[in-house]
Amino acid sequence: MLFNSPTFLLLFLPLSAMLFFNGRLRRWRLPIVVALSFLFYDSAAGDKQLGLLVACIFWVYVLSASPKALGSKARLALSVALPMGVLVYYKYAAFLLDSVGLHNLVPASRGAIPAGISFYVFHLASFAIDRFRGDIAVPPGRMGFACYVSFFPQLVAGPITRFKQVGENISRLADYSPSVHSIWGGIAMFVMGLGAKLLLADPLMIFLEPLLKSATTLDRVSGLYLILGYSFRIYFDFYGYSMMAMGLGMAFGVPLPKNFDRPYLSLNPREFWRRWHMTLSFWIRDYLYLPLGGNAHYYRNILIVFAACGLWHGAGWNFVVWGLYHGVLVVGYAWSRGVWDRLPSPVAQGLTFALVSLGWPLFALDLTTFAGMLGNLMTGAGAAAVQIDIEGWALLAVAALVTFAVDTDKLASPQPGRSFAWQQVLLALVTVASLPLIEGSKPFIYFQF
Amino acid sequence: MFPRVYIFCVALGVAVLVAVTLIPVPPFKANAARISCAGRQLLFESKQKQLSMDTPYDVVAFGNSRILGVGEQELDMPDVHYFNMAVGGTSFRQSVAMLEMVARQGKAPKVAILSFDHVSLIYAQLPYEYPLPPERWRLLAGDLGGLFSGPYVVGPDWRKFRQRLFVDEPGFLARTLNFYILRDRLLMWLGDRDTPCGIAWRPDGSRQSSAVPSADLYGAPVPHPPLYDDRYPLLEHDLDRLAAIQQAAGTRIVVYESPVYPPFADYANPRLNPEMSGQRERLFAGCKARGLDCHPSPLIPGTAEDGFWPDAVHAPAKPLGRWVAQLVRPYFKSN
Repeated sequence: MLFNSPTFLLLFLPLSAMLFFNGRLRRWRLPIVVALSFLFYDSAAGDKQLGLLVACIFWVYVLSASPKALGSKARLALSVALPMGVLVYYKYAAFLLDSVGLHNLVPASRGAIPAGISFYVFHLASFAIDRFRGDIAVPPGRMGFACYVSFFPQLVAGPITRFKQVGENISRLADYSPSVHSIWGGIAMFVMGLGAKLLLADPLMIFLEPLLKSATTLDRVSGLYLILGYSFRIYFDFYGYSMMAMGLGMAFGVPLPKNFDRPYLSLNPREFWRRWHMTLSFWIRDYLYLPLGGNAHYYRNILIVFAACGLWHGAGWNFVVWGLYHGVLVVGYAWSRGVWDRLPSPVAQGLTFALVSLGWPLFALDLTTFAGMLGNLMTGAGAAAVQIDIEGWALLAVAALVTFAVDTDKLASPQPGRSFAWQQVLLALVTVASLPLIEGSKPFIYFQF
Repeated sequence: MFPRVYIFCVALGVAVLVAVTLIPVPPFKANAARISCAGRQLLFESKQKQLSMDTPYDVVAFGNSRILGVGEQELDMPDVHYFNMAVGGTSFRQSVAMLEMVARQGKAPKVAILSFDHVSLIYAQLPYEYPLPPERWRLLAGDLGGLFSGPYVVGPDWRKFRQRLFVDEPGFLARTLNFYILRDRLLMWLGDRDTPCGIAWRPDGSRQSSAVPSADLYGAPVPHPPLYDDRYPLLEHDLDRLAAIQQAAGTRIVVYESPVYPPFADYANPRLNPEMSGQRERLFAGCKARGLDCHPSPLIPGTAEDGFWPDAVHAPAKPLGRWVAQLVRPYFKSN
């Protein structure tokens, strides 16, 4: 069950709203949200995965909520050991062992990678580290902590929140009085996200699928379509999810931090990472980059954190290379900053967008296929001209237009005065246009991480 | 800041979408070639409409691609008014539901012949594709009742039903407004009815095979796929429904197990999981107990004269039609 699924939209969301906004159940809101979140996770994830989540929550809470956790390295290590162990065992063990020539050591009975594991482990780790550092002076109650980790709007694909960002709102859930502003704001964000996913990301994939299947033999035009199309596809897919999560968070009384700030308008790779998947960037900065020494060893640390960032996305060399590629881009920018920063804005924007887009197909292709595609793109040796309909090009143009010329965040934020009516009309159009595409909508890309 | 305009516009938009779902689909014979391109939902609807408009048929065939090739020509019973209701990819459960709908319209045929897939194909028990909500909720309620009374229902069947209730059924509800279905319905209504999709559909509801194999399986070796199993807890419930139609409408219900390529049957039958061979036994015992006319699969060899098997699970239409005729002929003594 994901936000774009009929089960979520037609059953889970109405049920959640009925329970949450029922005045008589107000003081039970926190346990209700936790129960709903577990139900959501159980139906989104595979068999026995809820048990793992609950075990990790329990473990970290017991070890980190105690006053003894302040400054105790042993407790911190023990606290993160279980969630990190689960993450390594389920997500990385097979990859790491295979990489050193030890095959089939991880039992197949292990099952699939638990849904959203990279996200909830980062939530748990940040809590444990913040408690160790003393940044969370007063720990939450058990239910509050369970809600922080499992809150269904952000459980399976972020944003990656810190306890400090949401803890207060979680603790005051029973007192939360929904206003027209919060409900409408939530609906507007949710609708904008749903539209991004169903009207742009999913339809783009219809044209991209045949290209991905024959990526090694594509001619230049098809290869270019693949790179641009996949770039917009991944953006609208993840932006859509994040907007839906933020909308739900706002409506359910726990506003979530922003995850995107029109990243394709960035003027350089470093700025891109301040505007794309912002909560991950900031997490990595605070819990990895700065402890490594930060700017004191800039180039080394940048490459380390970007390799880790790539690995966070997936257990495969394609993800590691993708991460390192971005590390090189950021380092390259730092080297050439004097020249780069003097480029006219449209040129800098275009260059950043092109470089970022060039890397995205690594999310869908293995290294050999990706290299073959790039080779064809450069040499023009590819012969397979996959037919891309006029609709495909039109969709690409619309995606580009929305990306570069429309401030979708602004459209989703409550507007005072006359423009409020127009905003409603626009969002109603997006809603109605999205409804016929709910059935058959594809899973979010970031769900697999 | 109450979003009145939003609510009004969404309500208006949904009303427009719902209005499109109400646009009628032409009956199957009006344009078989075009309707058959429009997907299963509209195909079911147009075939059902065909039956509701015509005088009751003598024989109506229900099933999937395994019986779809049997038309008037293959049946070769000139005095018999025949229609093929089959739609590719659908299940025995779907056939039962379709026959119920036809009977409710007062158009039950004299003889309904239903193809039951070879148990190794785990096809018969697949869920209904048609109708969409709210009509299908009646079937859902019936199945729930069937689970309560079913003699072979165990815990996993209830879990599967929960999955159906909370995952599959919301999907079908969303399908009522599916873009492609709405688009095809609208296109047909606007007059784009003359674009055939290249499949040779015939006005009697059957589909002529586009390929003529020169040898069984085009000379390929007999496939030996892994044989899976899947429970069919509502088999008795479905047979009860057929028996009820037979009693209420006087329709003679004939069920036969769909033939598979004989060497494939030799491979599959001895290897059947106990659950699957048990299903076969339950089918025939259940039919007998309810007075339904059920038959094991016939042995149909591929020949140059009758046609060869295109694959291991689709019998050549001509001998299959002869088999179907053999089953229904006793109910039409003059033939």
